[in-house]
Amino acid sequence: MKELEGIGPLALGRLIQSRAISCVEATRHSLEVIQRREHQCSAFLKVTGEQALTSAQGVQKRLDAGDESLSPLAGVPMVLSDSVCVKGTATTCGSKMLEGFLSPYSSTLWERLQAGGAVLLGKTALDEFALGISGESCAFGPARNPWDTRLASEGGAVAVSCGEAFYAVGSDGFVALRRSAPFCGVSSLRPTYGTVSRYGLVAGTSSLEQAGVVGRTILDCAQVLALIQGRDSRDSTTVDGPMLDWNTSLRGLRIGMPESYLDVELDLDIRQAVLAASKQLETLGASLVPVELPLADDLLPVYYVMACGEISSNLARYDGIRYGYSAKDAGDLMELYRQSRGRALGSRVKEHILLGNLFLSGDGGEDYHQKALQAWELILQGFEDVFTRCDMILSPTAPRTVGEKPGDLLELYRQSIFTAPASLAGLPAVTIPCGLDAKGIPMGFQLTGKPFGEGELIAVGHGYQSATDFHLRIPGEVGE
Amino acid sequence: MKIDAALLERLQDLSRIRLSEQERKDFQAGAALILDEISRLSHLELEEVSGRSSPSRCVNVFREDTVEPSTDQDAILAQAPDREGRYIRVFKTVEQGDEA
Amino acid sequence: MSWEIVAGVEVHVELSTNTKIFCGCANAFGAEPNTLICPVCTGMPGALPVLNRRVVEYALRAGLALDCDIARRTTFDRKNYFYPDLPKAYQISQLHLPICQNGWLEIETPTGSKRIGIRQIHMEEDAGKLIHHPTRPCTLVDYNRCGVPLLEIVSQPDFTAAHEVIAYLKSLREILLFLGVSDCKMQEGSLRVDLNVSVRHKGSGEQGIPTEMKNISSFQAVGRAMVWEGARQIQLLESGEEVLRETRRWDDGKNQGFVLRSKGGAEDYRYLPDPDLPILEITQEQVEQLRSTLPELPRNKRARYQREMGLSPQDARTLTASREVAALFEKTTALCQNPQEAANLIVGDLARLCTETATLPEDLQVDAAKLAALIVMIRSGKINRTVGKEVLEQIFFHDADPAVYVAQKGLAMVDDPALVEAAVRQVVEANPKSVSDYQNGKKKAFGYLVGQVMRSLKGKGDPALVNGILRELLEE
Ligand SMILES: [Mg+2]
Ligand SMILES: [Zn+2]
Repeated sequence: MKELEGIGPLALGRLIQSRAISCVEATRHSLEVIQRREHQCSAFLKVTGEQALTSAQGVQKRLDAGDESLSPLAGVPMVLSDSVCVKGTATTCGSKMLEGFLSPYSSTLWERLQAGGAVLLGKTALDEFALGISGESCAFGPARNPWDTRLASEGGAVAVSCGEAFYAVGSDGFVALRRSAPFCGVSSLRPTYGTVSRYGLVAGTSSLEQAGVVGRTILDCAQVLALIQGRDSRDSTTVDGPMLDWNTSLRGLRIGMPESYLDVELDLDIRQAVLAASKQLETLGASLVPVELPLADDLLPVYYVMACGEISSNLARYDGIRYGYSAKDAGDLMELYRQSRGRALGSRVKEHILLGNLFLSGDGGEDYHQKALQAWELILQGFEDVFTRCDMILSPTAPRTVGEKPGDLLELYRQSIFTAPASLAGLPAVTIPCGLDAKGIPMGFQLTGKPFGEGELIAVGHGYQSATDFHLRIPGEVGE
Repeated sequence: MKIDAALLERLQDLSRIRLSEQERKDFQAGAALILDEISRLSHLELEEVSGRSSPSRCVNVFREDTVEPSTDQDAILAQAPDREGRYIRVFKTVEQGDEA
Repeated sequence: MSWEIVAGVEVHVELSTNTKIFCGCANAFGAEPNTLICPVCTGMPGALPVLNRRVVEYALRAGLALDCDIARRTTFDRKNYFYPDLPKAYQISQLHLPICQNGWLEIETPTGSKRIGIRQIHMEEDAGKLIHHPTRPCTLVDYNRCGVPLLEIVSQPDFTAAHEVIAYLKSLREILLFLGVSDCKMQEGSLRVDLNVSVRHKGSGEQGIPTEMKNISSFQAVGRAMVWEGARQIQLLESGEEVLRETRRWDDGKNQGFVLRSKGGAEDYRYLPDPDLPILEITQEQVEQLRSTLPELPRNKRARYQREMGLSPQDARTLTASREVAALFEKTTALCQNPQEAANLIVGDLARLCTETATLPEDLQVDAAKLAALIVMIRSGKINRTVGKEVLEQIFFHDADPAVYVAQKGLAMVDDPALVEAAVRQVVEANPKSVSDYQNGKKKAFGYLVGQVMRSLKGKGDPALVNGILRELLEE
């Protein structure tokens, strides 16, 4: 159905509600696109087509019965990253460790989407345990950026970019989701920490990660966020999210440009594209102000130490006893642990677990973790101060369109430079495509907002997307 | 900072992970570069700061002491690689457990 | 120079909440294996803990009863270690900011009372249960106990004699029972004791290297373990050897300790703040509010029973051995206004019935109003003590109403002088041998004759009246 290509989830929702198209037809459309494009872009770890059609029929019945609990996005086909637990279905989190694991329960965010009538097409690829910046480390092979299939990408961003799904929800764990979206030419939204429940999101870096949304436009992301945000009694760290009101005028908004970012080595194309975007935002009425990030030089080390520490603790449960991979040939308990974990976890995950244990144990002679916790406190306070000087912070999403090389720890670390602050301080952020580089790969900028400042971020992103068309381009198909 | 063989052994032990020979080499090389970056933290003077554990603004979050009958027990048990009846079976533990 | 044994204890008590500490699974003992489990307490990927409000309340109750400082801010930490009974591979516990600190408990010793310091009380989750396979070399895991709330109560190393440790444990148990926070059943594992022992030269104040003995099965065994371990360490040191920092297991049957594992390189739990649980802030008002609802503790009750009710120390101790018995005593006394009678009844016949039927104090179900009614009937002479025993049994076994029972069975005392005299005359006539024995100076015969009269009155005769009339007739 050609006419569905490029339209957003809300528009499709309206077509479904007006009976211009049925839920099953919409799902068939998506399954056709998947059929056509998966061999090229490998966004999915698992397509659950039969289930999708069954659930589309169910949603149609609810619609026809006038079910009031349905959302405006009822019947719209979508994907979840494979870090999101859905009862009775495979959830691998991109790891061989969880191959064959069927989640015995559903995440809160899926329950909310399901209650609103979402139709799940399948689970998408992500970095193993969401630990990466580009989807590269997925144990079952990474999704491919449809603009250049040599580049790895986060599966949800790819699925939306190719039109396989109308939106994607996943883990903004490290930064792959936020970073991947604009590189695939689509938009992403990471809400304020605690506004979307983490219950049922396979945990990696508990205090840094949040659910995130990918959509073609930032408004698509906002519509989805509205369905999943809000306090959850099963996640003690949740609060109600803000009213998502994006009708704020851009006039008078102060957009901070961090001075420390001027020294970061980055692709020239990206530098120019982000500068051009900043000019565009000025044209729309915003003013640019220089700001200084708190502990600017130490922010990345703090982020990294925290992340490794939490990963080492959160991933200790994968021990071959209750679920997941279990070394059948181990001769005793210690061997079971060491072989199961040694074989089924990927190198990158293992390296971060080892680093985390180094930081936590103090065996290296430095109390890294305690230092990081203290510095974190200062950084959190420091951001309160930053947001008295500006309303949001502008940056590239990443220094390079090319992701890290497998096994390159330092590159992974360095490429987190722009996305780490929002993760570390629990701030909302949006990433928006803003042009193609010399190789024809989309690039993006990021806006990081104050806590509960999603509305303003969406307003600015929407203002920008109303004035530009970078987000409307659909990557061509190989052999087309 | 360098990760020597003894420290690497200790980290594998703490992590309950056996790395392959190649992985050990890669890790020693990669971690050294990372640790150079991280080591700048040791210069921070932070005596007065207590340290946060979450960017969450929540305090005093509770549930009431009311039983919620669980319905997922069998689905949970079904995931276990080795079972005996309703028990999950593991290698003989070295000592009587009960450590709390 | 003589040696001194120094010990401290860590007590883990399971709290008697309805649900586990971080999920809604029932907190119950003895269920079918792996039935009281859910994604949270089995550590499924993505599951998150939510704190049970009552656990905090119970921790605060214990802290206040043990005169602790209550933390204004308290947080949970993860203690990371691998073991099959620990599904997340970390225990959620408290290290940096425990909820209670710096308390104390006073114990009685032969040389007077002694204060034992309580270093801290913290909240944590219990692990699952490991059962060694009966026939094969493997272990079976049951996660029902996983996530049951625990308080860990850590004493200062203030014990220098086994009887002190035993007194402390008894007193601690008594307090926890009175607070209603735990059933403290050692046999079900809801109270577990670890013992740290070191030795030093008496009066030196120095700190010896301690060993830890885990999960000792009874209070008396804790005492024996302390003595044995102290002796072992002294022997080592006197023969020029060193005490090694190790964890040991006490085998009470063999009266001997065994090495479990050596702590050569101290265990590294890589504690980190649990990011899934927000901080707790406790206000002064909350603390005061809770303090005002604390029950009177056994020690205070004992003092009051002696001071205000004139009971003996022995009676006061027996009556405060459990919350249930003390409550029964107080209620009964309030209704019958006769503490000594109530005490006699409960400490005497009722305690005997409990022993005979192996009834635990907490399972005792006796209506105080009925006990009080029984006491009033005895005191007012409505029934005599022999009948009183029978009525008590009826209350104990059948929850009988004393007034109804006495009326139905016609057990009220026979205090009509004419009826009694008739009975006495009959007995005197029927037993000439005993009468002449008595009159010839064999005073024992009198008792026999009283017994015969009582028998003919079916045990209901007024003893004073029977005695008086019989004596009168015999002296004639
Ligand atoms: Mg403990
Ligand atoms: Zn549970």
